[in-house]
Amino acid sequence: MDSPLLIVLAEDNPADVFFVRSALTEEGLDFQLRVFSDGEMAVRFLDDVESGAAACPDLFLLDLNLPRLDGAEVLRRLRQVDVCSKVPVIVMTSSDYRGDRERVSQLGVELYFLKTASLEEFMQLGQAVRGVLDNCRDES
Amino acid sequence: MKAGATAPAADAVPVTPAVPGITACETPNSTQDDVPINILIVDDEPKNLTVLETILHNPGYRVVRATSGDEALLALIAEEFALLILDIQMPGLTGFELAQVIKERKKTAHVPIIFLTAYYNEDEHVLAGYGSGAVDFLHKPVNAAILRSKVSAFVDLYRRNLEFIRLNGELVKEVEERRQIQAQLFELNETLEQRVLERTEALREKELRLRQAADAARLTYVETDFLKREVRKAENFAAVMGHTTAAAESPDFDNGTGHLVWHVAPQDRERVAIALSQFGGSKSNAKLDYRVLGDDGMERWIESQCFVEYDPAGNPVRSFLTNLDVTDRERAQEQLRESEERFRQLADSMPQMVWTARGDGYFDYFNARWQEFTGFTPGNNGDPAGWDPIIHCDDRKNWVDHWNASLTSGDSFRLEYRLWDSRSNQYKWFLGRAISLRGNDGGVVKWIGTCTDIDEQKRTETDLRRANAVLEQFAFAASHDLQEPLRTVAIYTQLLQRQHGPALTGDAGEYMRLIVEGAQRMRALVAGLLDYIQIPDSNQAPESNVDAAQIFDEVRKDLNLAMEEAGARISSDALPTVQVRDIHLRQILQNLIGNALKFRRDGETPRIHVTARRLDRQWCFSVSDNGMGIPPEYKDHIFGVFKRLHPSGGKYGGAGIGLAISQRIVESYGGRIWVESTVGQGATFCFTLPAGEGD
Repeated sequence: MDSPLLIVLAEDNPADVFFVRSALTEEGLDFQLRVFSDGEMAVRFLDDVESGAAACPDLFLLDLNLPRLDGAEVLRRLRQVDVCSKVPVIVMTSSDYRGDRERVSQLGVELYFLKTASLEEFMQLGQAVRGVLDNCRDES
Repeated sequence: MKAGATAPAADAVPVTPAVPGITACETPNSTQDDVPINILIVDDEPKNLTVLETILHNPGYRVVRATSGDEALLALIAEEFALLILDIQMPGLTGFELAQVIKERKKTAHVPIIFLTAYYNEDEHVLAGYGSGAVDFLHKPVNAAILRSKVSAFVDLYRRNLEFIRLNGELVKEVEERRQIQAQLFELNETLEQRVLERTEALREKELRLRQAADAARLTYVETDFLKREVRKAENFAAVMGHTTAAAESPDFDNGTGHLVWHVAPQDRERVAIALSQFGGSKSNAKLDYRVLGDDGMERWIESQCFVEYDPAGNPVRSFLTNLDVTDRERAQEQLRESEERFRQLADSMPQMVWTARGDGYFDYFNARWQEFTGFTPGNNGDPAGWDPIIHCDDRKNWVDHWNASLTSGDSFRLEYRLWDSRSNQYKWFLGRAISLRGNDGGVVKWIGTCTDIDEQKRTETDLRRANAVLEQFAFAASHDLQEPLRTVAIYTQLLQRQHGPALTGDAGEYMRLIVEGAQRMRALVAGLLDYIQIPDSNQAPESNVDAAQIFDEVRKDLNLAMEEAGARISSDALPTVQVRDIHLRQILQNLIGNALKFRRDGETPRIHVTARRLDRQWCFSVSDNGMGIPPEYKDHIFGVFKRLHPSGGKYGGAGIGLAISQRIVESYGGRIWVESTVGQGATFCFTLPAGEGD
């Protein structure tokens, strides 16, 4: 790929934002990260994408627990945008709450990533991202 | 001498010989005037006969000639003659002798004879003639006129006689007929009398039965005849009124009521007297109830009805007053009233609200509680809408639907709804219930309903639910938001350690370790607390038959690393199925086996063994170890929340919540958990859980 990956991250915890960035960097990905710290802003971005004012990202990293509109709402909105129909989504959450999983599983999620307190596990996010992107490229 | 022309002409009317005397026989039905009368003339001299014939020539006569006595006799036998004219002097049988013979014969004895004699006035002859039964003498030559006249007389006589006989015959016939009719009448009369007798008997029987029935029903009457000024009482009057021994006043004619009032019990007399005086006035058949005090001292209830007959002018002609003993009915009604009264007392003393309704749903009773509570009795008792003012509008439709369904099916009614409490001016929750009572035909005759105050319960329920909801929200928030910062702390300290660890000098490393540890402990505490609260997750699987052996294997796998580290050996007997949620059993086993591993004895290979034995409907599991054991004074203490026997840090550290959680889980299934232990030797934790279905 020539242009850097456009990765959209919906996450309100700056610590986690930093971490995601670190994890992706450590994985050696060439990327541009666009961060929305609440669900409403993320949905507004999706409106822009739909109207053509913004480009569709290559990957969506979505925290479920967002201020204003939560991750599930954002995901729902995302699935309404035709141009983004093939965009892979990695959902992140800090608890393995079954309810969370079920809420989003209907909407098409590539990976359900659990944010643990273990540094090692968290750093595996980079690998996970690469894996997902590779899968998508293969399919398309 | 042959018999003269005595044979009747062929077309002459046949004459039946009449027998003298009264006999019923057929007489010639032609009148005597039509039929020529036979006259027999007897003379041996034909010339004389001719002369006689000529003299007696008459259309009314038929003269028959005979020239001898024998001829004459023959003729007499053959026919009926009105008269005989006899010549005395005849050869052979003289006239006298012939007359004798004729007279001797019964049949001919009555025929009058006129003797013709030539001898003039010979007394001898005359006497002989009269002696032989002659009727008259005539001398020859006969005077024609005199003869004719005499003949005419005799013929007349004869005709009259015939007539007489005929009439007599008819009379006899009539008499006979009359007699027959009389006989029939007599018979009829007898039959009639018989029937009358029977009818009378039947009537008497009926009357008897009626009287018996009236007596049995204790029905009696008094008849007053205003015209005759008479009062007639039925035989059983005194008995029904209960006064058989005392001498009743003789009925005085005063509309026939005076003596009736005499029977009435004192407390009702005035009322009865007034009512009776009005009886005559109104033409309606009013009923009057009153008491009589019998001779036996018993009080009886009598119901009187009066029927008055009026003449066209409007004056009473006759009155008929019936008295019926209705004591039983009154008693029954009284009992019913008492029973209802008792019901009402009971219903009013109950703290619950009670109401009743007829089978058709018409509300006919609300107890005191009900009325106190609502402040009024619903109007429009037949229409459930009458409850509208007091039922919460949100509950109304539901109430109407349910009540109508019950009315139709007869099934009991049960519904929670809010009623307006007029005393505290607010709606309160009630549980309305009603059951139906069925009559003999199977149809519903009554509904009995209650309204039970469940307001507090309902509010508590609501509060609880709200509290639970709040708790749920909290837990949800806690599981994310509480843990987030902790996670951040944990991760960044790890990062710090990793990136700058070697550069840290002195106690910095220790500080960081402690920070990390603190953060981790905090996480563990929060996680433990959340576990302890155990918010029910509707997404979790419900209780089911769980294979404990399988769970044990899973737990063993999960703890594999820790076990290897500790060099522990773990085993189990055959484990049964239990009726629990699988995660619960997992939690318990994880906790107990984890503890067994953690609290091992130094220098000992940890050995952990899990068994189960049956206790009624439960299985009793035991997890035994050969660890350090637990001092007896802490046997219960260790199950407390956040309670530890060792410092929080270090190898025996922990949140101190694991056993508390296990206890809560076990107790939620109605089981128990406890420990048996000897310090320095090991501990056995036992817990009970419900056995699986079909086990």
